[in-house]
Amino acid sequence: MAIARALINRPRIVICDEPTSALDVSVQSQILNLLQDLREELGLTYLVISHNLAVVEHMATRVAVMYLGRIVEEEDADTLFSSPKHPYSKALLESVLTPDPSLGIPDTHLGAAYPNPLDMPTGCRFHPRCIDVMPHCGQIAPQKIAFGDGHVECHLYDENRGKGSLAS
Amino acid sequence: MSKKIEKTGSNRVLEVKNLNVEIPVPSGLLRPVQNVSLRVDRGETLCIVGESGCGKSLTSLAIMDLLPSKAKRTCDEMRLLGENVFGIKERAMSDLRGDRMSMIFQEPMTSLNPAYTIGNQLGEALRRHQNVSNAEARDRAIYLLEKVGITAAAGRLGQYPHQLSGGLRQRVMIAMALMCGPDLIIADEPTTALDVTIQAQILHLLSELQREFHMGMVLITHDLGVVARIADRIAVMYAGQVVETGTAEQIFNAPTHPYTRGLLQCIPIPGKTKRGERLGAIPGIVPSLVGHMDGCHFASRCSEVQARCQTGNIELAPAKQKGHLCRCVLAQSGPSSELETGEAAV
Repeated sequence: MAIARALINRPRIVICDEPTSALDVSVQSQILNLLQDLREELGLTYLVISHNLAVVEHMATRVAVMYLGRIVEEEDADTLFSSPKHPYSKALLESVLTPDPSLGIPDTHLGAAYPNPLDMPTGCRFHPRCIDVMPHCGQIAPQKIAFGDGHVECHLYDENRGKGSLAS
Repeated sequence: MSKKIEKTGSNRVLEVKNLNVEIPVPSGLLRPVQNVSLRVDRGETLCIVGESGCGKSLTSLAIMDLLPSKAKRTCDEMRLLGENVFGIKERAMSDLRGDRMSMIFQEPMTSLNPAYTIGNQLGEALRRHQNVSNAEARDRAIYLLEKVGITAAAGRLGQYPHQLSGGLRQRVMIAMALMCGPDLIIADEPTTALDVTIQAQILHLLSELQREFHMGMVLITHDLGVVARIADRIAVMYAGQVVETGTAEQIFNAPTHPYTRGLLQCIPIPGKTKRGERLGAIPGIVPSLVGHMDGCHFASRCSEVQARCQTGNIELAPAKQKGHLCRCVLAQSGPSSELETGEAAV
């Protein structure tokens, strides 16, 4: 019903904020199938907001990862899911629980403390929880670094300071 | 990481046989839980999985004897550590509840009392069940808060629930459930309200603590990803009944009941399902559980439905492997007289 209401004026872009987060899996799959059929049929563009990465990988063509109000990494979905750059994206992907009984529960080493959004950490906003944190991460906010058709905000990929590289 | 723990028969923490819950509603008698049998051994995790309204939460509340007053529960047997706990006096039950068996609820914000400090709420259970001083209760609270990964635990004791984040509150709930060192812990959707990174941490913590304190755990969830990672054994519930039960490998690698297979096809799996591919779906809706229902509860939505599905009572019967039970006529190979339904405890 909510989907029909959103489509009544024939929009070109539909923003779906957590379209399936409160649903059972059998209903979730019905909604995801429906959204994809409508995308084909009506030529829609979706901006899907979700914390369920299995759903994101299933639906998305491009993905932007947000952390504390900033987009820390953005690129096409294939690149993100095959080679995440930002440490937060990596931790997020590790936290996804695929239904595979041979695997245990991942340990992301993130620490539970989600920072207070009223009193943001200085420098890189992710540095208090980052496993690859470097001394200057707490002082200097990272800039957008472009690669391919995406970008990442992380000192690991700075040309002269970082340890990582953007080989892709 | 090995999550399998050796099972020994004598270590049974919880045994429930043929639990039923009935609630009178204006249109008749609602039967949300029908003939559910469960068992949990020490150090074992049993996951109850199913969709909203399948009766999994009411099952756990019935075990804890916390059902709403209108609901009536019956069962053949309910034993905690070998002792009967069904029909015992409320006073005796509340001696057990929180002490030998405890529960972690879904919403930490509604389960914690906003008017009392964390320290006060943590200490209350211990002081109720054991003869300890305030200082001892405080020490135990600090010890457990540190165990669940809360730094500067002593400082947190004076805080109120609203001063903590969702992840911290859930950690407090876990610490609270562990205060008396219970033998059985029932966790009802403990991570549903949390972010994925926090969810992974809480689950990691729960399974670590379970191993350390050697408890039996019943975990109730609808998230199959969580189930696969944490469960030793799984009970799949549909419309008030357990439709399939077995070890995690049996359920995920050889699902037998059409409902279980349908559920597993509904979820997109990174790396397995192709992006943009149509997902499996289960058509139809969950049947109403008011009044008596004949035949298989899943028959109205099943793609392999047959005439014999519509009548009679379909029992939980052994499937191919040992310990794997399924409530479906298609899975039952032999004639029904050979089925040892008495063994059909989950």
